[in-house]
Amino acid sequence: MSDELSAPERLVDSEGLAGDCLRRARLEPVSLPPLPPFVALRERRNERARRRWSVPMLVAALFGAAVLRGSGANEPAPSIRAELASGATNPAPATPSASILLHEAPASTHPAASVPAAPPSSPSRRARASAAPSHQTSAAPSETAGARSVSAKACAQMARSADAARALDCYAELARGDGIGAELALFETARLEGKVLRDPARALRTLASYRERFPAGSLRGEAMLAEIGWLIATGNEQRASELAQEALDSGLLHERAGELQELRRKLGQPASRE
Amino acid sequence: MRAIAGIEQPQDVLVARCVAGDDTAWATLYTRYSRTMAQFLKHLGVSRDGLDDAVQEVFLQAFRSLESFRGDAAIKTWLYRLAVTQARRSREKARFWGRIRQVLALEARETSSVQPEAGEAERLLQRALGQLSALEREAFVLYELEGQSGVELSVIFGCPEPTVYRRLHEARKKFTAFVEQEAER
Repeated sequence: MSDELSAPERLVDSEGLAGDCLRRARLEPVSLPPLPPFVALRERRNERARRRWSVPMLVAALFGAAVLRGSGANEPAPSIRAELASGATNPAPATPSASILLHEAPASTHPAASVPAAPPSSPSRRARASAAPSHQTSAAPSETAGARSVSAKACAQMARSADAARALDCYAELARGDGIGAELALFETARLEGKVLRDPARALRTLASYRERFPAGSLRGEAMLAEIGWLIATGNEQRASELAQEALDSGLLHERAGELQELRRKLGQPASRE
Repeated sequence: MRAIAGIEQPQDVLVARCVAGDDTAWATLYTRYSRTMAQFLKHLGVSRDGLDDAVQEVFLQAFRSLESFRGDAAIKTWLYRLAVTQARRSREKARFWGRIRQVLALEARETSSVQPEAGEAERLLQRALGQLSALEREAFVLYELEGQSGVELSVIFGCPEPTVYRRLHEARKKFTAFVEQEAER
């Protein structure tokens, strides 16, 4: 019978350096940041309760709209692959609200030619050069289309190995599904389009498509943040500032509220920026 | 008495009042345990930046699921269980934000749970805890610093006591080795 299956003596009560360390740490005043008062917690709880109702209501409204149009059940999901294959600047809206969303983000509808600068973390030219042309050919429907045999892990591996075209195809396949997998696929697609292909306008279109498909998605806060980043990269600071305010108002990124406020301040003072 | 916000109330009365939607009772629960949870989350490696958020999440989760609390464990043990889950989420989130920062090339932010002005003992403690795996760290902190028993740990982790003890023995070995090694330097 091993001793390891019984309760060990507490180190904190024992002699030795480890016990000393624990005792001293317990005696030292704990350095904690000020915790929010209960009233802040209550507001957050009430906000969540409101949000919980808004999601089923939104789903019901969308379902109702689809039924009224008589084609809700057979409507195909928006396809990144289709957008990539056609090279269209505006993906075909899947629901009436899609076109509204796309028009709300003017930068996302402009071609990449107007992009003044890419984010500093953009990858090497070699990666771009190898990724972009091959993507055009591999974007055509493959023989495995519709099989959904890909996994997020496999897609991520392709992306890591700088095979952006195959990774995009892979994510496009995943994005046809639903749930968090599809959300992540769209998010990663936008990241690759912006960072590897250095096409922020396309990344913005993908993020707009994410917004339209997943209005209450788990990654919408992160998607908003990415959208803000790419809007700044495309020089659309006005829209970026509006979206930052939207993010602040939504409370989705409350832990980044300080950064977003600072960003808004900076965007409001173009003279101080290079 | 209600006049002192239920501070002296027994657990079951407090829980019953919380379930009934009494905000005063919730405030009492929060006041009584928020600091303990903050300290616990900090020892589990939640960054200082995310600490207030993580504490709030623990209590929001408690708001949502208090009705399912059966009362066969202390409410503190139950909160520890929620905090363990939250700490894992916070770590996951921190990794995710690391990636976001990479994408957007945002400036690196301080994510360490160790405050620059923290005492020497606390710094050593955090570094030593950093040597443990996530599961070992959770068990070790609960056992050594929060004073929870093996039985309570098995409730918190939902696993048999021998599993908990194995983890504790392993954590103890690593922790001791690190502290001794540091002392020799």
